Amino acid sequence: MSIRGVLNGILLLTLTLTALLIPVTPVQSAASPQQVLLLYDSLAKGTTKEGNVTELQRLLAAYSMKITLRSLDQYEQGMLNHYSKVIMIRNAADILITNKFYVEDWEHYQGQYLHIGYSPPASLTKKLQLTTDVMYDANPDLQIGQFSGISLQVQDMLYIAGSQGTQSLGKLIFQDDSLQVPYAVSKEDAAYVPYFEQGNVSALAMGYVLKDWLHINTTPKVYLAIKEIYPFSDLGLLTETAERLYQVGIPFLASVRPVFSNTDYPAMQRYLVAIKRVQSNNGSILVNAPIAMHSTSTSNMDHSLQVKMNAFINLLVHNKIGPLGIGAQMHWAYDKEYSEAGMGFFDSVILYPDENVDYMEQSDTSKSFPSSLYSVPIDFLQDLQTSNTVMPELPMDTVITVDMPKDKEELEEMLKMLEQYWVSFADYKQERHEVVTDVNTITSSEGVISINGQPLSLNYTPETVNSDYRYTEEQKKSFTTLFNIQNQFFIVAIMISLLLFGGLMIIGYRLYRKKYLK
Amino acid sequence: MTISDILMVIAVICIWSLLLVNVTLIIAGYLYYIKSENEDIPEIEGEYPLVSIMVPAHNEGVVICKTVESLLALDYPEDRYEIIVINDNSSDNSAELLAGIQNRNPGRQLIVINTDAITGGKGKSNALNIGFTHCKGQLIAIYDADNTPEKTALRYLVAEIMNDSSLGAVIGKFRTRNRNASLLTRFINIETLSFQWMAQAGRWKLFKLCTIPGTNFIMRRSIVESIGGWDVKAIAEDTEISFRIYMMGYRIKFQPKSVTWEQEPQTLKVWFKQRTRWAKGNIYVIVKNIPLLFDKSAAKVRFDILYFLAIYFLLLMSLITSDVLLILHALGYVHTTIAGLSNFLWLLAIILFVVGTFITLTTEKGEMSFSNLWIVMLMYVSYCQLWMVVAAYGLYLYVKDLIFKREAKWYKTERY
Repeated sequence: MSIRGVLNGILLLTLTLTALLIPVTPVQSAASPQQVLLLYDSLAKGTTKEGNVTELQRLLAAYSMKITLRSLDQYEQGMLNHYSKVIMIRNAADILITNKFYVEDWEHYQGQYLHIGYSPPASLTKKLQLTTDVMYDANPDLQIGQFSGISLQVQDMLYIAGSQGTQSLGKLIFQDDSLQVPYAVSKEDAAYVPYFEQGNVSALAMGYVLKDWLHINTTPKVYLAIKEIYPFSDLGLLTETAERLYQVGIPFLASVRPVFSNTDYPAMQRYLVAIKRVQSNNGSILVNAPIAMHSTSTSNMDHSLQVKMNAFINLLVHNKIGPLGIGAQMHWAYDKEYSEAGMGFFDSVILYPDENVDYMEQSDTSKSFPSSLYSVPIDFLQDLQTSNTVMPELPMDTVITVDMPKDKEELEEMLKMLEQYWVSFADYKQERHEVVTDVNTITSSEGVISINGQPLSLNYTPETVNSDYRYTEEQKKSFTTLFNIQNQFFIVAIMISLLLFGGLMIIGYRLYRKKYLK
Repeated sequence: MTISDILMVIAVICIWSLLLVNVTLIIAGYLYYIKSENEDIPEIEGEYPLVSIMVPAHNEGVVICKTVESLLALDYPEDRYEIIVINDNSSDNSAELLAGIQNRNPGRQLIVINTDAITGGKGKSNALNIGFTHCKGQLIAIYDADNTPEKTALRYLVAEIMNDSSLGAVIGKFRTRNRNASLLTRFINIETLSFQWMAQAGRWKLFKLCTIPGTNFIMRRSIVESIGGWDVKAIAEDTEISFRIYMMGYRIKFQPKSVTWEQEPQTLKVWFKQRTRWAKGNIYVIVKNIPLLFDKSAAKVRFDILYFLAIYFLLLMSLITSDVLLILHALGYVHTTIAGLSNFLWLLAIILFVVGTFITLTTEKGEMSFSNLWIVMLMYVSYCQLWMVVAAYGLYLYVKDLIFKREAKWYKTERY
């Protein structure tokens, strides 16, 4: 071997080693979502904290996180090693961590950590120089982001009494005690939030905390979505709602319930026409997840969801409607069947709070979506007392949901409420969304919806639906012709007979009179 | 297309076809009525023929006197007719009553034959055969024991038969004497009128055919002799003898001006027994004469046989079939997919029935009334539906008797 060869070899080896030494930072492409391990000690059922785990799941989903949910009891050895982001919710003050795998793995964990609730680990306490305390019958005002003066009412509120070298997130002002404490504190990759409950504005605060902790820099938007749109809803009122919203310049989403059968009926045609009119009034169409009811036995499981959803989306496309996403209850994202078969077509979702949890194949890891909106009902806005006339920016992409008005009064009330809050609603189709079926691809970008590459005209041309429709297949009748002819023949024959009888009656009556009534 | 479909089609076609046949008969019958109103009864020329009137009776004590007295009051020359009452195996006081009438009318030709269980008691046919052996007349007339003929009844019948040698028999009309006794008798009154004006008058008009009704009729003695008397096995001896008369080449004419009044059953039970007897009897006769359908010489009889076959078998079967199929279809056991029965047509048919029946009532005094119109409508849904039961039961009895080889029994209709 020559010197040159040796030098080349050394160079090659060096380069290789150098290459190996450069840390490979996973490129956060749009295709690979960030993963979070969400651990909890207790779901706090029956307490005020109940539901905060699911709320956190919804918040994380709104940041397009892929979440793996585990209770501490079910923690498996080595799990922590696979995640660079871990959130722990400690809802129970008295439960000690007994899972030794977790305790062992925690010693070696180096990634980002967010602790919510009781008993922050020693390492965190040390890092943040943390002291906590409890306020009883607390009534603090929350200040976070551009929001201030939002009132909270908590029975036993854990709060940060002291911390050092940390960044504060939000402020809690206890008026009675003239005490101001941070809502949350963070340092480098660690953060601590003592109080978080579902159903009040602490969800908003947590949103901010997560945004900071996850290093999210995108500008969030607020959308308006109308829910509970069914084929049997008052379609006239629906189109009127869409027109009124258009008139006041509010773009919105319409989450429409799907129809899987009898789609050729006039009623369905009318439904589609109404949806088209909504679309033409700047309403972006979302497919609302169907109500899933299924048998619990695995042998009877119905796997027709994908086919049905596919057919419905294609039907919409066929009728010049371009759906841009799906609205579903949050647990759908945690169900293997629902998330794939039902939601697999879409890259954009709204995850509504769970109302009827009915899993088919529950999974502890959620499906994440590039676009996921955090949904709050319109009443939520009432809880946010703002100092500005215009609604301040919310931390994540949020959708304000409102049920379709049942009558004109409710419509007026809705419009008044929207006017009152001065929210600047964004146009959903300005963002990029994609829906893919077996034969169609629907995309939106910068306000234009395209179907299979062709832009979709959103103009509505009035059309009437013909109500003439044969609903039941008429039973095949035998001898139809024979009976028709026979019936006609006999009707004629009897009519003629009756006429003849009539004539005979006249003669008979005259005879009768002549004979008997002289 | 299922079997039930095919059955249904056949049934429906049969029912509707028979309906049309009956409509034709009604029209023909009424035309005959109009014609007969304008015609005079022919006169009896020359000497009045001797007539033997036979009255078979079995325990008819309640009514026999009135009957015999009516017969004695006929406007036919007294010496040119004899009355033969065959008091057949009666256990009541008929014999005494008849003897009493005889005593009160010593100059009259009134013969009473009292039989017992040995010589008699074998039914009406047998009684007539017994009576026939005493008959002297060249014409034989028969009246039921409960009949009260009008004075002119016999004379009209004789006049007709003497005027036309092609006639083997002439039948008169019978009316319901107790027609106002109950709703049932009102039904019967309408039924008998419409039957006579439709079936008898209509068939006479179209085919020169009638069926002997068992009472108020006259026939040539020679015919009785040639056919060897009455068939003792036949309960419906009148229908049986009608066929025989046709076979001999004679005709049977309907003379509506010869009227007799008879007592009809007043209760459903009695009525049912009477009618099933008639039905069974007629079925016997029809079955017996079915071979005539294939007999070239029996051309005249074919319509009657077919008509009776049609009514008693085809119509009955069709109605039962269609009703059973409809019920089974409603219960879901059977599935017929036939295109169906127009409700409008059904309504028209009912109207036709009502009007057709009512028309026949215009022939009689006091019968063309609104109350009768309501009675006809009521009949459709009640009395007429019972016919099916009667016919079916009659058929059943016939078959039973056939299987168990029972002898024909003369059931006597209860009198009031």
